[in-house]
Amino acid sequence: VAQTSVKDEPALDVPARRLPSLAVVASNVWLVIVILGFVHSRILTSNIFAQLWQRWFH
Amino acid sequence: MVLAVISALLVTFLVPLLAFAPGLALTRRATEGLLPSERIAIAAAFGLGLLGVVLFTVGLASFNRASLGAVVLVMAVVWFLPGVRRELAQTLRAIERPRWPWATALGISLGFLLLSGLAEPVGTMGHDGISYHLQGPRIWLREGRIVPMPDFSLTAFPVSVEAIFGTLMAFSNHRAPCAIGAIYVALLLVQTHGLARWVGASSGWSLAAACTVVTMPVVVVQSTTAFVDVPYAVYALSAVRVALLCTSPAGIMVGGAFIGFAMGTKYTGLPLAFATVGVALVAAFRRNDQTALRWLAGSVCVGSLLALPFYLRNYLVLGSPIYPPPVALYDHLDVRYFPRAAAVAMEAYVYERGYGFGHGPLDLLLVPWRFSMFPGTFHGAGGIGIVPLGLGPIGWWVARKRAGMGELTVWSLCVGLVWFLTQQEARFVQVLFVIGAVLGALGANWLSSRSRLGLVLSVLVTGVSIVYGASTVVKATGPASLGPAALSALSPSRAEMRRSEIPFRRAFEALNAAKDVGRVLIVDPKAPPYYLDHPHTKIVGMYGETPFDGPVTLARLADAGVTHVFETDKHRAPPWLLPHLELLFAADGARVSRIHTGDARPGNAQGVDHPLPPSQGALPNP
Repeated sequence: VAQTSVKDEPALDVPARRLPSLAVVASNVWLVIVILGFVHSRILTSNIFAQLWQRWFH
Repeated sequence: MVLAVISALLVTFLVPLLAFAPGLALTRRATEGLLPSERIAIAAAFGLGLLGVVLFTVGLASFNRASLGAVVLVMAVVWFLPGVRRELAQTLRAIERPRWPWATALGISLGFLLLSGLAEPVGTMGHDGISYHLQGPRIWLREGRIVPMPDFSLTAFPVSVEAIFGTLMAFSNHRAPCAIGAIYVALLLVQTHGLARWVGASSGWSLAAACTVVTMPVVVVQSTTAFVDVPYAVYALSAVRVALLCTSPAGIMVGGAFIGFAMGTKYTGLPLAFATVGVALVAAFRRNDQTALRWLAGSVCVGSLLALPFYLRNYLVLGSPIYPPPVALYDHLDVRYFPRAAAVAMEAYVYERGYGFGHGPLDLLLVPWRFSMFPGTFHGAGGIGIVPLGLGPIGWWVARKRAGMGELTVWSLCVGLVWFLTQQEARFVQVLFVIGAVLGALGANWLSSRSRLGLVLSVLVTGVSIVYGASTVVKATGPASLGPAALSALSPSRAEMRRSEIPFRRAFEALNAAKDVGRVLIVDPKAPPYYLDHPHTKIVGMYGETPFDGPVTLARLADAGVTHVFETDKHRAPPWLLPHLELLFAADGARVSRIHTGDARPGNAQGVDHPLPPSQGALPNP
């Protein structure tokens, strides 16, 4: 049986990985910003977290 | 209590059902091409809007069970037209069945809202439902026709929905007007789903948009407490849907009628009308559509005619079509019961309450962010979540080239700008939150199909909004606390606990049980006459109204039929009246006395005037 080198093996049929479009990246970044803003405005300013923050860091 | 709940439940469904037939008959041409569920919702909204206008117009002459029942039955006759029932059957058969998780969530939410609406309405004068949305119909039913309430100017707002409230009260009890709020919310949710499908969102994400709306505290917290903001949003959204997005001649005409209903529901319907007509005009010119222009003129006439009774009544009876009037109108009109000083104080109050973060250009740009993050500044009751802010712009970008999207965008910007410049009160622009949720659904749909991270973030944004909103709604406290309200509709002990929120309760109950009571003079401007079964008047109203339109004397009180005086610890009767009062009972910080004209001091007995100091324009705490 003729041996074939790695070099001779046929390439697997895997499509080239496409980069997400700029619109998708911008949308994801925007959503992360909004989520962080919401967490900051809702949770960090709520009583229990504000008290913990005061106790630990002030 | 059980009978009261059952009666309210039956009437709440029966009246809209009877009014549905004319709605379907008049809108079926206009809604061709829409989703079947959306057609049903728009027909129901049209029926209710038309019912409100007719009830008000008839109610000016007679507002009792006989006349109100006759109006409802005349509208119900349309059910016997064969085409209507056939159309309804076909439309119902064509409705696609929603996926069960979403349908279950929406069903539970609406059931919860309906249950909370079946609770007995309670609250102080700071609760709009108690102070005027329910108070007005209560007085109309007692007087047998729609009359102004000079001691509370806000009862002169456009009252098409309150006319329906009065009808529900006439055939059931005071729970029904609150419960019908759940039906209006259901109509809004169906429209949300339909609009989301129209912009291109999938069925699942469209249902998610409806779930987002039903968990927006701004939308639902006051929806079953006899507020009229959700009905207004339903009419406004219907107008946009059929007039701007369908643009058929029938659609334009029906859209005009919906604008008329909106103008007959809230004054914010006036700028809404200008925005809608303006956008439709520009769009028709750009398309060079002469037919649409002609039909648009007709729709303006229809809308104006439907709104006319409310504004004409105010002009003829109270001296100003918009009442309480803007200060600028005082130079041109002879306004009754509301002094200029009170109007100045009212404008200052509205400006302060609706200031938000400011009215500058930077504030305008930042308002979507600030509204989503800090809704309390806009009296937002917990806000709207982050779907409109996070996913809405993405959805708009995706659908920006869609036919009709330009009109929807410009219309939304106009409505938002008017809100920003006038009074930044969150619940006034519920229709924009719906549009934001709809665009958010499309944004999520688009992003989740293109990126795995986008799918995660879309689900996260939607999930956080729904969970946060639902928990806020359930946990809300005060008069708008839906959780305790829902429990009180089921449990007598909870209902009794809820009644403890009635101010001066024992005093009102004793006065209601007393005999030989004519008209009651309520001295405290902030004491709610809603709990009083007898006619009443006040010396000065909560916003500085002067029901006597001049100095108050013993003789004028006698002419008005005043026999009893209701004082509170904070507001005692004026000194000149005290010698004429015989204390009957005192409880819960209130005192009830009978007036004895015979025991008057000589000066009073001879009818010498004792004018009160001018109104200070006392205003409630926001």
